[in-house]
Amino acid sequence: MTASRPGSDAVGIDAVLSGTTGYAAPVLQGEPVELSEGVFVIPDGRVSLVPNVGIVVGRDSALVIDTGVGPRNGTFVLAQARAIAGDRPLYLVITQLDPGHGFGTQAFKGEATIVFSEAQRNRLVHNAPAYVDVFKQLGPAVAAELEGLEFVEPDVVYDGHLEIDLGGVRAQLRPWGPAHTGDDQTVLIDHRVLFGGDLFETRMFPILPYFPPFDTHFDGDRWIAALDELIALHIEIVVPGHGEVTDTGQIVEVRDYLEYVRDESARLRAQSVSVDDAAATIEEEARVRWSTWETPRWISFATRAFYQAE
Amino acid sequence: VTDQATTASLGEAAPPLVNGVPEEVADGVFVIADGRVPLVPNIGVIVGEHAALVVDTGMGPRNGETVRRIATELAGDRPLFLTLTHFHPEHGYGAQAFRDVTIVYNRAQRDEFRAKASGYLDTFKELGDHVARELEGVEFVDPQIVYDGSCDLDLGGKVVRLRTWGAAHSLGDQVVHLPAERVMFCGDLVENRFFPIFPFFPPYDVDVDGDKWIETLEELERLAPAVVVPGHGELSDASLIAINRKYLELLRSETARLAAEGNDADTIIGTLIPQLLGQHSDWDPSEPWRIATGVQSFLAR
Repeated sequence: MTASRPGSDAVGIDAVLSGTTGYAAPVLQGEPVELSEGVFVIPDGRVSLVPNVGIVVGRDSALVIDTGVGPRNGTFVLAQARAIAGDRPLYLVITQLDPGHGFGTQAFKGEATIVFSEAQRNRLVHNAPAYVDVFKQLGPAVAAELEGLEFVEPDVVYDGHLEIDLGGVRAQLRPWGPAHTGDDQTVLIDHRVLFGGDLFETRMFPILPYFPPFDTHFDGDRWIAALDELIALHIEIVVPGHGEVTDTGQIVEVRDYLEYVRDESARLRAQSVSVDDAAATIEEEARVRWSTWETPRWISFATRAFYQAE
Repeated sequence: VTDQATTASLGEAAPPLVNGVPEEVADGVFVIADGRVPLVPNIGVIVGEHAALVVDTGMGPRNGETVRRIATELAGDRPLFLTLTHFHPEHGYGAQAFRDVTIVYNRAQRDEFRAKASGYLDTFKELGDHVARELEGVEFVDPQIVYDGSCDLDLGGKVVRLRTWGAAHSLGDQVVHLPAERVMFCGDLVENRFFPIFPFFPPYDVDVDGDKWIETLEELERLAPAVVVPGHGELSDASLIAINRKYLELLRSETARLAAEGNDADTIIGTLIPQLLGQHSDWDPSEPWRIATGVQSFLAR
């Protein structure tokens, strides 16, 4: 595995791969936990590439949020949803079409009404196939889950907002991209529970899939603005893409971190500090300031993304 | 005056029953023709490989059941979606027969439906016993999916684009477009040899927007559909959209001209009804109130 080219604008995906081999099997397991009436989460267990998966049950129908990676995880999630929802019609939505969140969709084709945002469908058409080979390089445990992967088309594609009435329970889908990535989508259940996808995580540095020229659908200012809007909703129960279920305070922490990286990278760039040196400086400080957070390798990605977006 | 005119013109009309045989106008795209029966719309059933979409229900539970039965015959055991071109009673008040399928509206349509459904029900019941009979037992059904802007349904080998265009004929006008098949269901944005309907009934409903309606038709013409399904009347092609646009432009410009000459509303209406009936001699002349409310609507803007 090669290191990134020093000083290069194009930080290869190999940079994120280096030092990250030996991924544990990204397999969802465990029982759904009820967070609020009819709102369940299958916790990620803090396993890389495993998302928090939501299952929301209304009087008439039920909603699944994210699938995990690959057909086996998708099938597992579908079985859990059926166990909770019985024979109610199902909807499937995803918080973004990256492998961890949306590459188990095939298990739901014909079983659920699959709803994507326009940005998610674009990512399906233009970016998703390229992710397969990249993610297979993450090690045999990840490659195994991608065996038998098929891409399926959504049944419903919206641009703007979309509301799904499950019968006494309402889910509001809202696209935010480009923010953390091109196709971020949040799912708000009534005014009770917010599923945020990778717009924020709990106790880990935000994952920033910025791999020019491979994937550059990042917009740091819009990401921060999105978090500001989500904070203003004051939702009591907040489900991050990864990590423990939390509250709005966690969104505030992530927003503050992103502002810190944005402002510091701008300051250092203005002083003609190279991107590599800026990344090293910011990583050193951020590790101290957010000392309980895991996955510090994402700090330098955040720095590079903000620095180069200036 | 308008209500009397409406009642007078519709009092003796045929029962507003969906009574057509579905005709396949493009691969998998069926239309149940209105037969030019007042208060019966053209209804669509679009059948893909794994799902089907019904466009409009007809008025009341009996029509809804008829449409449901025909849709099931065409779609087999495919799951159904239902959408409406707009909320008006003859287009959407049969939705209760589709309570168990996925109903999709745009947000303006849903909000307008919630705000006006009861008022329109009461008004329509006064149109005559034959109408009131079909509206017996109407129940209002909320959609499961509400979108803003536009929304694509992939029925399997057949993509249907739903798009919000209101405020025009109503606040929530929705066009159902199959870009590949080049079929467009226009709802009451477009009629064939009927005068376009201005639901301008102050103070109950003043939301019709003739200017936006004209702009909408310009944009729909640019999409160049090969088959245009109007809300009422025979199927046609994109030229029908242009015909409706030109009528609206004429109504607008003549209203403005007569108003600029200092004429009051009654005088303008009195002038334009015979003039426009004469200029559209092959259009159904039985509801001149449509011209009158059009004049009132443009004067009020």
